[in-house]
Amino acid sequence: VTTELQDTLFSLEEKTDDGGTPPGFRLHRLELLNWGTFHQGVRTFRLDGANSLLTGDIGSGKSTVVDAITTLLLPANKIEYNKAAGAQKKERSLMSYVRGFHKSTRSTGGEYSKPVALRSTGALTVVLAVFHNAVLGKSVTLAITLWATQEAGQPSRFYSLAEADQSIAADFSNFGQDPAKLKKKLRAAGASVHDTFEPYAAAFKRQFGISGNQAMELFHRTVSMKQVENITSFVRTNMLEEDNVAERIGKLIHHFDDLKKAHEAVLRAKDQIALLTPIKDGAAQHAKLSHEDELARQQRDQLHPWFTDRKLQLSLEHQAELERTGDRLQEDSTKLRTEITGRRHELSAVQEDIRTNGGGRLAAIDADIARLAVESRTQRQRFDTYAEAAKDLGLRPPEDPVLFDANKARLGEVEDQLGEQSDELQESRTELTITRTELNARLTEIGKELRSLQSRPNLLPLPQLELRRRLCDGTGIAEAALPYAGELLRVRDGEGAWEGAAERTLHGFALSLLVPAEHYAAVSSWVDANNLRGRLVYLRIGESPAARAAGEGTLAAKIAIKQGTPFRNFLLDELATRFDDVCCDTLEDFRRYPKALTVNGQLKGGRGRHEKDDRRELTDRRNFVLGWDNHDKISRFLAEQDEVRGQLRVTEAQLAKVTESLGDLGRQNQQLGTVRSVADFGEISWQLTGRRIEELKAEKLELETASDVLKQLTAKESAVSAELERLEERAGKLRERLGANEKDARDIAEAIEECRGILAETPLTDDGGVLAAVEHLTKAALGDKTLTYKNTGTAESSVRAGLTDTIDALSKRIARAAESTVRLMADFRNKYPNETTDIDAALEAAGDYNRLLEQLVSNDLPRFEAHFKESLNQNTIHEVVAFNAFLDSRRQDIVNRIGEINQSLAGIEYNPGRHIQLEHQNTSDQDVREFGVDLRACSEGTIGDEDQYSEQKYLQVERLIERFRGREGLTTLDERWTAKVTDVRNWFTFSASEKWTETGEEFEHFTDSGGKSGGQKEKLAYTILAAALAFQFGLGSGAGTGTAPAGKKSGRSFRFVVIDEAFGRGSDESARYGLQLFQRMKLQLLIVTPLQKIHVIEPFVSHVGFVANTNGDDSQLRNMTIQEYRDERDRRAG
Amino acid sequence: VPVDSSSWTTVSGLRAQSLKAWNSGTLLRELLEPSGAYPRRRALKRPTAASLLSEYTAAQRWAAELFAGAGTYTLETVEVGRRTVGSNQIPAAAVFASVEDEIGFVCKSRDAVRFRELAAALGELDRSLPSLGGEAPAEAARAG
Repeated sequence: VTTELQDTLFSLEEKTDDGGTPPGFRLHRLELLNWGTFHQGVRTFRLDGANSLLTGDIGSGKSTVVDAITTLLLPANKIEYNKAAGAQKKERSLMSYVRGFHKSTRSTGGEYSKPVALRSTGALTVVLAVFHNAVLGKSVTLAITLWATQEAGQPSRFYSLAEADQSIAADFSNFGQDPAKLKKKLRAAGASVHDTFEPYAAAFKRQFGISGNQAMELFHRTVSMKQVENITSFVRTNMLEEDNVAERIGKLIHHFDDLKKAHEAVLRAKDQIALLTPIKDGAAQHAKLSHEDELARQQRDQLHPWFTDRKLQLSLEHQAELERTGDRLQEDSTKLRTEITGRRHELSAVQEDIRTNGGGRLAAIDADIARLAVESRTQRQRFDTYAEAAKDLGLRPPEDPVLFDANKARLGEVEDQLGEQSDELQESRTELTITRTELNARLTEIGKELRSLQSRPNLLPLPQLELRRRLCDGTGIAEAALPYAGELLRVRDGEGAWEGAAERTLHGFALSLLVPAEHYAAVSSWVDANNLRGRLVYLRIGESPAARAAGEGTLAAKIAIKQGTPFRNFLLDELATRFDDVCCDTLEDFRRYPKALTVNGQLKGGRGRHEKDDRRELTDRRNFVLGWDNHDKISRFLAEQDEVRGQLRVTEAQLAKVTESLGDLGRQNQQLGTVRSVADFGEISWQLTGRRIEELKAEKLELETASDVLKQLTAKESAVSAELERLEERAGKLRERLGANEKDARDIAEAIEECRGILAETPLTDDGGVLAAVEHLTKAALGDKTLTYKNTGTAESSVRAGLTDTIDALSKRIARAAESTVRLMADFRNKYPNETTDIDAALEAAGDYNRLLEQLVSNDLPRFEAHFKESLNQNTIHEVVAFNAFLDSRRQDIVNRIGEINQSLAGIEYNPGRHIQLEHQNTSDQDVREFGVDLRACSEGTIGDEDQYSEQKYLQVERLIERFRGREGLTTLDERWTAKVTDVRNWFTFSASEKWTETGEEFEHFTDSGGKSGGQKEKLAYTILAAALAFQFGLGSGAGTGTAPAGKKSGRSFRFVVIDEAFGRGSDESARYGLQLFQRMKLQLLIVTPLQKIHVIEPFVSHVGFVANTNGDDSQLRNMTIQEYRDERDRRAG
Repeated sequence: VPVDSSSWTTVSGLRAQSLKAWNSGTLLRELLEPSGAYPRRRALKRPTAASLLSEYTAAQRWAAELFAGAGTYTLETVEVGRRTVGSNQIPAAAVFASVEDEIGFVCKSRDAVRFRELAAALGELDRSLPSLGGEAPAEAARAG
């Protein structure tokens, strides 16, 4: 590296060396009035354009001074107050400085108390800075005047710029209290006064020769520059501007909301269509099935008429057929009769011939044989009858005349014997009959008695017995100890006639339960505590009174009391007292006695009360309640009954035997008659007749063999006879057929008549479709068979059965279709109640659903889709692309910025003969890369394809924008992600390359992962910062290009930089390098640092501003030279 | 930002190219004496990947117009913008399958028919004449 080249690179440095006049505008003096804790009176910090140090204890007000300087150079809204101290943005504000809030400093620690103001509203605050350019010999005064008009908010202000050296004392006082007057005064003094920052900034930038837009921002960032951690983050945070993408993202999200609404409308419409389509289908199916059902029913209704009609037609055809058959049969019959007549003649002729050819005897023989055969059969019969009768009577079979005569002789004897027997039997029979009658009478009596007894086995009504059973269960008393009165009483034997009247009168008493005194307590408690589910009367039986005899003829006298009961005396007393009604046989008596009773149950009581209750039959024993257990009696009767029955059986057996014997006797008498009727043996001598027939046959055979002619004639005769027989048989059959035919004809005529009758009542429809359908069904049902007049009935029933099945199946399907459709409707209504407020979930509303569907399909969905497409393609995707383009332009800006810095870097010697160049690479961060892909995916394939409905595109856009918005549950994560990926600075990583200036070859490459020491990194960072400052402040060091920026030509340049001590905290060596570098570049430094650790800085500093704040509410600023400062320090240390 | 969209070939730009060919008589000559130039491919000036991003709306409109105008020509597309707006198929060239198509594109079909009839009539008169028509065909057609 030659000195010459270095000259061109660092021409500014040389100039200083030559003239000692520092170039550019430098801060000469800073004045503060009522600024923060600098309260009351003007504080002045003199720098005289030289490197200076601002020091003081923590909390003394160093940052307050720095913030005063930034307030002059940057718009208030961009300033992060107390930035050097790393404070939160909100902690200090312009207002807090104007009002002098002093208790909100960080040094108070802990919770911030409510800020306490040093000044009330209306107090005037002035910050004033005088910049001087020694080369041009020109001073520029910048000042901001502030005053609070209200407690909170932003203070009022104006900015002023004067091309002169002003001071607060001289120029900002003595104007009265009205800021307007101050403005006027300043204007009068030639200063330009601005109410807003922008024109003021433009003015001072012009004065200072600053052309770059970012110069002041860089100045501001430099104040807060911290230790360098790595190159990438140093470049990102300090060299590059932060963009405000939040607003753009907000707009994106807003546009996307419109799209989302449009998309939801589409989805909703599609969903509705998806739900409505099956409803429509279901309703259509239902209607179709209903129609089919209707048709099937019509067909079924027409079955009978149709089949009747068919039957009529077929019957008519058949009738005609029958008529034809009848005619033919008549014809045949006539022919046959003629033939038979001929044959008969022929037979007569042949028989005549036989007779003439000696056939006369033969004929006679034949006649005799026939006659004798008959006779023989008769004789045989009589013989058998006689033989049987004879056997019964003890006679011998009449084998021959001798035996027959013997029998005849014995007949008288037999007759006498039979007479005797008969008399005996008759007598015995009479006796037995009498016995049987007696026994039967006895049985009837017993039976009556038994029925009477058995009709009332329990006497008392069942509920009453049940009640007692429960009572006894509940109390533990034996049932026998608690009898009903009726169980102990009964009508005396022999007073049966009065039984009905007695039962009726005593009924109530009989159903009273008798409770002995010892059980009274238990019973009364139980009765009271339980629901009886019936009525119970019970009588408490105390001391029994003396027995009282009942009055004669009274009802009581007719009542017996059960033996051995302890209640006997009680009952006697009761009966005699309560039931002493006189039983009257006549009504005269009845009317006479005061208490009386008739046998018919009319009761006369005290005070003329009469009663007769015939609601129940008097004799109906079922209601009788009197009497005790009568099983003994019943079994006695049963035993007797058995015995009588046994006797009866024996008697009847004997009687049967006698009767049988009498029958036998009668038969024998009959046979006696039979035997007697045969007077002559000839009447039964069949053997003789038989022999005579054999003789005749032998004679005939003899005759026949004697003549051939006769034989031939006989043969012919038998042939003709056979023929005749055959013909006659045929004639018979023909007659039968004719008869049958006639019957058929009658039947068919009847059937035709019936069919016509039916058709007159239920005429056949003229609906051809229905008839054709019926015909079709019939064909199917018949299969191979054809319809005839006979099978119409069966065919009809089979078709009817088929149709009924079809209708049943249809009904089921209709019901199913209705059910499912209505269910779908209900589902739809549940999901979309607003659309269906006027529509029911019923089949009748199918039209409404169809209209909804129709509206959706033909109108709503296309409209929604069109809106969606427009919103997606015309708005959202355009927005996304615009956002992409914006980010891309920011990316380009960064690349350009790096280019600018590199240009500047090329002019700064890093190491002898070498300079640094920044290099940028795309980040390898996965989120950033994927974000780029996602962003591009939104517009991928969208050009020339605007009309497409793209769900996929929507989803791609949604994916991105939902993350911008912050997904549910991932809000923080998405927020962080959004901040990261939309900050274009994060799209790059940076590295530095140290190059040989001469050849451009790389000497060394510095990356963050390169493991360089902290010192190296800081050195790099200083270099980069210096390069950036040189570029932005227009110091013009364009490497070797020779084109100097405008600022340099006019000598206007800005050379003032505030840095925080923290920046150089790394190592002394690198701090020294940095300070040297700034010195080389002729930059005036104001270094802000606490009291410690300033030895590295000292050599580079000539003025010191010492800030102190002993009370916490009044900061003081002392100006010292570095020498004074050293002395002071030594003195303090000493 | 430089405006790129003004340099892209629009439908009217394409038509101007074809009209130039018509006016020079190239199209009519081709009609009588096919040179084998068809299907003819006319390249389109198209957006760069970067301008797809910076002038997306204009690019979209431009492509849509070309796509919509297709019929007498077909469009060849190329994939562009993978690194900027995501991959998109944008028109790169218009292809006329036949000279008739291109004549149709410039709305001169009726003139072409007329020209053909005249050329044929001339051929009837004298065998040497059609070539004359071939020399200055557009004028011939206009002269009618």
